[in-house]
Amino acid sequence: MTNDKMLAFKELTNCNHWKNLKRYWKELSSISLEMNFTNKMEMFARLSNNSGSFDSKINNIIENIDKLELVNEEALIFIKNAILDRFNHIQQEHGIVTCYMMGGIAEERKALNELENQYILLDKMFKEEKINSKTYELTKEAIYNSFEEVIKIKSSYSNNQSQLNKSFIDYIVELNK
Amino acid sequence: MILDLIKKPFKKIQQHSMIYEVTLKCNLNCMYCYNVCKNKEAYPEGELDTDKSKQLLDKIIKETGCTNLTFTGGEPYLRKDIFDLYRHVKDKVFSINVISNGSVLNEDMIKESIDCGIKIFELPLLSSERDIHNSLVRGNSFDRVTESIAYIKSNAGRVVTVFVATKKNIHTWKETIEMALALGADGIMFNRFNPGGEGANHIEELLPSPEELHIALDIANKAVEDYKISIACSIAMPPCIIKTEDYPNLGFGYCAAGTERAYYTVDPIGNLRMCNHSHLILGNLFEKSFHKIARNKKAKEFMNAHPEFCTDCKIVKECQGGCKATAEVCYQNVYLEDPFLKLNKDIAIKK
Repeated sequence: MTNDKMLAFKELTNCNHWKNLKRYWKELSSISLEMNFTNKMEMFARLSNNSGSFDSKINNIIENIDKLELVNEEALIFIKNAILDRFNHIQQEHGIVTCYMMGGIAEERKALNELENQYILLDKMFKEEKINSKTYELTKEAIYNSFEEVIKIKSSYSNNQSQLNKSFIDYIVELNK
Repeated sequence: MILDLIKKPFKKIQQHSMIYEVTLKCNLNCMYCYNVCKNKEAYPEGELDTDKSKQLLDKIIKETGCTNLTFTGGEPYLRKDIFDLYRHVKDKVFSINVISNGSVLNEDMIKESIDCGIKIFELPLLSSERDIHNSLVRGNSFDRVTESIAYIKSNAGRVVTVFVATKKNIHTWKETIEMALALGADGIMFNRFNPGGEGANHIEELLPSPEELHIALDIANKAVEDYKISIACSIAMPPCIIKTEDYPNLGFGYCAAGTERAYYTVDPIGNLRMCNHSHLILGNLFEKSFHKIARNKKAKEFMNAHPEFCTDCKIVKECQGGCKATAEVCYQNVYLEDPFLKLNKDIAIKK
């Protein structure tokens, strides 16, 4: 492996320990695509050295993957999948507000759409008497709070309210009259 | 290289996650329950007092280096000092989770749990149909569980709902996913029924067929795409029976016994087991260190065991032949197939 490639790999793994790096490389080369999700997460947790700083480095890492010409096709797909797995994990860990902050408008739309879908399902469950009124009211409140949180963060760095999903705002306003 | 080989036996084991069964008492008597105290063979009873439990928690964290600690039971909220125990570990691990049946929780308990650092509540949502959920738990917990989920979400907590897939509820899986989403679940677990404890008395009645599981997994795989929610299948489903590669959106887990990602379980009096499904006591943490117990003869035998049927399979090391703990509980032999593999091995296509 050339120095350039090793440096790229070093950046990818966020690991400074040469010995570990070689071990990871060996492991990566023998990885099967059938590896299960937990194993992938385990491997990637080690690759990212449990630094917790991975979320801010996703773009850098994805760029660096292409420099890794020595990685075989399976390993390359594995790394990309592992990054996506990790990204999903971060989304779950920090919730929609964080993923909104990370992804900007697109994620904001996603967050709002998710809330809207949640409300539609909740309403359906209540009308079909599958959940009781207490659960319904509490969950409506939770949806509203999440909505407020998204809007608050949105307003804190952008005044472009037109980007928001107007129909959903009206929907929520109506809901809380 | 040689130095590494010499160092290996002395290297400390570090676990990501540990499970602490804070009590074996439970207010419910679920049909599918795998709890060790429900096994035919007697299991040691008793609980430690608060101070001794804190000592045990300190030992668990110090000796295993775990960053995630899960409290379970029995029903953990039956212990009056549960919040005291949460507070004790709050700043010592990265995350504290709790597995509860959700039937004794109220808003105050949920708020206090979140204040005490509980990051994830794992609650059963066994069906979107009240009667089906209640028939599986043999109680009336459905409304309490759904209310608990709502309280958790309205207090900005995180919740994962658990669907134990049995013959009785698997036909409501799609609607149950929708209900979990409606309530704001942060993740869903699809656990095929894994006989053990009380569940061992209901194998024929509850164990879903491979066909039923394939249909349910198709639904789950599509739901992940449609709703962008995470669905994990943590109970082993051998790939020779269930073609896990057909469901790329789902996470599948296999037995992790002995690895860093194993779920070693500590019972209320400090006995260490390989996982929460296993009833094999490896040793007691008040008598020997985790390091010594986790490498003793019993532990090694469990780790190395796999069913004879799987010996010539290429992926036996990864798959481990299903759930060894269940084979051990149901047939008192860790080298036998678990009931799911045993009943379906005639259709198995080995790798």
